[in-house]
Amino acid sequence: MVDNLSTKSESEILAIEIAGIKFKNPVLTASGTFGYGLDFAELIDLNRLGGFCSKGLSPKPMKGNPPPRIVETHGGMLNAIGLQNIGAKAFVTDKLPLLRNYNTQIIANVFGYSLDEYIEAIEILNQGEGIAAYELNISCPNVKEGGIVIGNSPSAAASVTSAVKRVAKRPVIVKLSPNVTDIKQLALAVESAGADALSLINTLVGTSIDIYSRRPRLANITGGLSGPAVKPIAVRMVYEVAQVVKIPIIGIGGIANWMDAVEFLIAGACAIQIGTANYYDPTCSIKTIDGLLEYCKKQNISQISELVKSIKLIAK
Amino acid sequence: MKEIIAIVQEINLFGNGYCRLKLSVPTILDINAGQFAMLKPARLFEPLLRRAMAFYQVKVINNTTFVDFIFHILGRGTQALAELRPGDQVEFLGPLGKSFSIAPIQKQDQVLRALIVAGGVGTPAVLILAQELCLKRVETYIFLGARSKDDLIGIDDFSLLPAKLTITTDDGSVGEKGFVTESLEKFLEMQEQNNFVVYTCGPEIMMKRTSEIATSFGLKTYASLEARMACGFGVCVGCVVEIQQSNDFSYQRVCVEGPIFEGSEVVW
Repeated sequence: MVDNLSTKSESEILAIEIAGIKFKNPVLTASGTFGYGLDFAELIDLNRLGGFCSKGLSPKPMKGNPPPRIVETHGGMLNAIGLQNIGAKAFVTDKLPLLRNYNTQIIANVFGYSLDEYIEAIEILNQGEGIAAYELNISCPNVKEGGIVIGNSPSAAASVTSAVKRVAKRPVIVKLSPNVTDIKQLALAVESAGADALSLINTLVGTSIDIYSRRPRLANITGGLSGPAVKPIAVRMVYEVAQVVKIPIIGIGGIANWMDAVEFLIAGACAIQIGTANYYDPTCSIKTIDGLLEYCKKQNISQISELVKSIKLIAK
Repeated sequence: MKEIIAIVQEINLFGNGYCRLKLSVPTILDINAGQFAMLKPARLFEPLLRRAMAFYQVKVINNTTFVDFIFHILGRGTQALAELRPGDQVEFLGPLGKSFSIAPIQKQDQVLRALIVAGGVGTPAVLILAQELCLKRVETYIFLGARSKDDLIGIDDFSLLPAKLTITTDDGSVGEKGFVTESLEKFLEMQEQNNFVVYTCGPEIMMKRTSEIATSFGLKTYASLEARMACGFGVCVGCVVEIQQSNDFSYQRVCVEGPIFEGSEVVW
């Protein structure tokens, strides 16, 4: 018998759980597109969000790349911010005390240019009260290992994951790079290294050139492509990874409305993150939550997790 | 900062590919000189990002704020805005950024004078400042530069102010022939007392030169910078400018720490 959905509350229908963390809904905001959370307090009710991911944090503050850092492309944008951030310590002392006033899950995104840096950042963040989980950005080059991008190598990704898992006091979500031949191998490697969940995808590496000056439009030459243009790639990767791993997946990549969110859930994500859309539609996350609730009610879905990995493959 | 739908009241194309856009925003906005808004036609999918536009004029009537913008139609974003028609909806986020401060003029024990140097599409960003200075009875000199008479912006509005206006064009089609910074330098050389605070907005090269000239006369410059922005309220960190701080530097966001920076601190 179908429940009477009209009597069900928003939280009953939309609540989800990932790695033991309870989220009031599956809508999170993506690292790098939401500052340290507080920047949005004037625009949306942060208490409505399932959670948010902080800007990437390193053990020490970072200046970032020279400008120009962004360029718009068709259906998306390239960015090469260079991970400018206030550092893990300032996040703990300056941001967390204010963020704790909000009833939403705080995920600290962490990156490093060596194993030691990841561990150093995690150890600082372990002292901070109010963080629900860590999300590891593994799309940086490892300076100690000849600059290989950790996220491109299953063994390097696995060793960062297991090292972080040993010190982390909170669940660890590993954010996967799409700039790989087979994302499933990366997913499996970090799953066996102990990752509690996966988030995917990070940005795709791209370049844009001004045809008159013949110069790259970004000072860094290459940047990360994000926005609606990357969504089909992200949906495909979420689908592929969901076929092979047992840990929960958080889908990211060009999500700009509730319909995009539903698509990711059906492909195999348990939750989603809104990224680039936060820039050009600052209330996008709230509209997505409202849209998901309405969709569930209209489709007679009493609990949103019913949608997860519900993709119907065409029978042969 | 308000995220709200604005309505196009008027739109006019003029000169060498410029557009004047008047919007009504159904709320009272507290807008100060030098601030900006992020704009995009409502429900437009492409281009994705809103465009940063400095306020040209602001008028509050009852519970509605009427705001004017002037921009050069250059790329996809400005093209889309230029195609709006009266009654169309516009996604509006603003006001954003810090404003021009006239405090440096008022704080001194002596009364200082104001010098505004603006060029091309930077001109609209200084009208409210000029109005405010004149309202406060600050002796104000305005230097406006453009490529030609078809690139001059807002002359009718600036002419209404009780300020000394100097116009230059690169081709001499109106006003003095040459760069606005050349006129500025000549003007400062002729002054017995260099008791000015300099405000500038325009092409980067013009602001850099203005700042250099001002510094050589011992004057402070406040420059309103422009940068490509994705969000306009600090989260994307895409619009940074290099700012000198003692022996070090930092990248500061044009949208939040700016758009007004002290000219001598900007690494041009």
